[in-house]
Amino acid sequence: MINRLGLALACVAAMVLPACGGGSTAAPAFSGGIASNPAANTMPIVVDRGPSQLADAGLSTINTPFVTVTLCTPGSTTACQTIDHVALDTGSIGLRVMASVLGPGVSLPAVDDPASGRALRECAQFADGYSWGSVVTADVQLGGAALSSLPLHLIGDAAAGTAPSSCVSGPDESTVLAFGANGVLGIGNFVQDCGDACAASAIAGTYYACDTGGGASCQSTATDLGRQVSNPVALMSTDNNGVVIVLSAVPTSGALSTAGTLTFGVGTEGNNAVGVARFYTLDDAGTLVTVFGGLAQSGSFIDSGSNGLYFSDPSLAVCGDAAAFYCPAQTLAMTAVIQGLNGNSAAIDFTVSNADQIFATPDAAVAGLAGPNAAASGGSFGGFDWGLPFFYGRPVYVLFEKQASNGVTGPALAF
Amino acid sequence: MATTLSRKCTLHLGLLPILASCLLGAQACRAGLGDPAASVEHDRATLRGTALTVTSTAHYERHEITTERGGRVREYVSQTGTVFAVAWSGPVAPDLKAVLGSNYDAYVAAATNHRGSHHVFSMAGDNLVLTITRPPRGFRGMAHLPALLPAGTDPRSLR
Repeated sequence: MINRLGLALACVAAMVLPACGGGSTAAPAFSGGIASNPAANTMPIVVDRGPSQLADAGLSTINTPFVTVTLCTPGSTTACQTIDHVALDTGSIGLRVMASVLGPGVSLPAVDDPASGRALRECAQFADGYSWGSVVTADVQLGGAALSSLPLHLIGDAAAGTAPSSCVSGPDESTVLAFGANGVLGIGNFVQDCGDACAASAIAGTYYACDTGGGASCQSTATDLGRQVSNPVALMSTDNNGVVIVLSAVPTSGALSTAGTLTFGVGTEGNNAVGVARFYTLDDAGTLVTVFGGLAQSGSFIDSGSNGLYFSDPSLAVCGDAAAFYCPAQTLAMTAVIQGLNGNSAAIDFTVSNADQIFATPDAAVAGLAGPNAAASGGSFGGFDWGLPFFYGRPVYVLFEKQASNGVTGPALAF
Repeated sequence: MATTLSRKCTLHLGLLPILASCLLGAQACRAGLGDPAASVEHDRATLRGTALTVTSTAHYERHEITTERGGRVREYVSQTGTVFAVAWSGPVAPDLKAVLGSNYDAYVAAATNHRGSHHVFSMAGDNLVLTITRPPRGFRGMAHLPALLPAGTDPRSLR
């Protein structure tokens, strides 16, 4: 498996060459890419088939951007571990790491619930399941930036035990195989994953105080902001007002992999200047409006953690064997309009390809992957989820809440 | 399973009519999508809702439960007295086991090992149509039972 991963990385490095394992090559859409001497406020992104544990099980990811992070025992510079294939997610907040990938060389102390003196655990609920584990602290290295005692979510650790029943919501996604990554780095528009709501009151399905083993011993607990799982970039000493995600364009036909750069800060350095990009402000859920199919759909969002474009179009055929995706007979060109709360709008062209045909290739970066977010029989409730295809060849600036840049106050996105 | 249902019911001792019906058997204890209109009150208690507003239309009643921190759950009840659709939104996720009732297991089965996003899940089965989205903050979702959809009702209007 190490060989296969090595091949994939070599392929990324050779992306500008015309032949890379038989797939199409992605044209570089920006200068710099993975620089030989990267700036301290950057880290490389790779879009490939995912962590080795997936490959060992015959699985792979598609349109999932990954970064590599280093965790250290707080206060130590030697008790450290580098973790690859941590998904880069603008749709969530905070660093989450699967306990199963952590070796014995790193010791991450548990965060306590001060009211009870018991250990603080967290339930992360997603649309398709939940993850359960301890809140711990680590010294974290992200590219050239270092953070001390960052609170993060250690998922599936033995001490956390089983999730309380009020956390259980859909399938358990507390393993690499079920989650699809060795962890997730949530660098969306907010500072904490829950924020004021969880600081003010105990909310089921979020933070819990538990005895070892979890289960029925757990009680929902209010958790102050400093103990909540937090956006590491917002806690950096500089370049902490947002991030920029730059990914190469990929052809409609797909590419074996692609690469890019995560840059910390928005408009704080020469390498994160906003330039000609325009800002689109968001509501307090991190969403904006997308006009598509004659409907202005609130609740829409732009999300590097979604592997496709998810929207409702009853005229599109859903795949027979992968109901989460569309399978048109031929690739279709479509347009939708994104509207920020500040009134800025942009027409966005996109393509929808046959997902069954996409999955039959080894490609990990495909612009045309799309699926329904509202059932085929109708419904516009979910809005439009602009997943990773939106990012290909289009730099996206994520301005955090309460931060100002270029006369705009976050939460906002620019592109 | 019987143990679970029993424990769930005894959490709501204040709801004597519901409790009484629960004691009659597991079938009547269920609540949520696909269950009788009386189950809406059970759900309001389970979800710790603070208000229940009923709006009538030609085809159905909409029972809106206001939940924690400005969230809401809407249960749509047909003229035959059955919850045929539910929709929710807000900063806090409702208990899907309560909201989806006996359809929860179908959601779990469909979501297991699906290849999509953690932030969007959608299924369109013959028996259950469901969409859940998880934006950066908060939750939204909608589910309905196609077989019980009242004639003349556009699922798009249920949100």
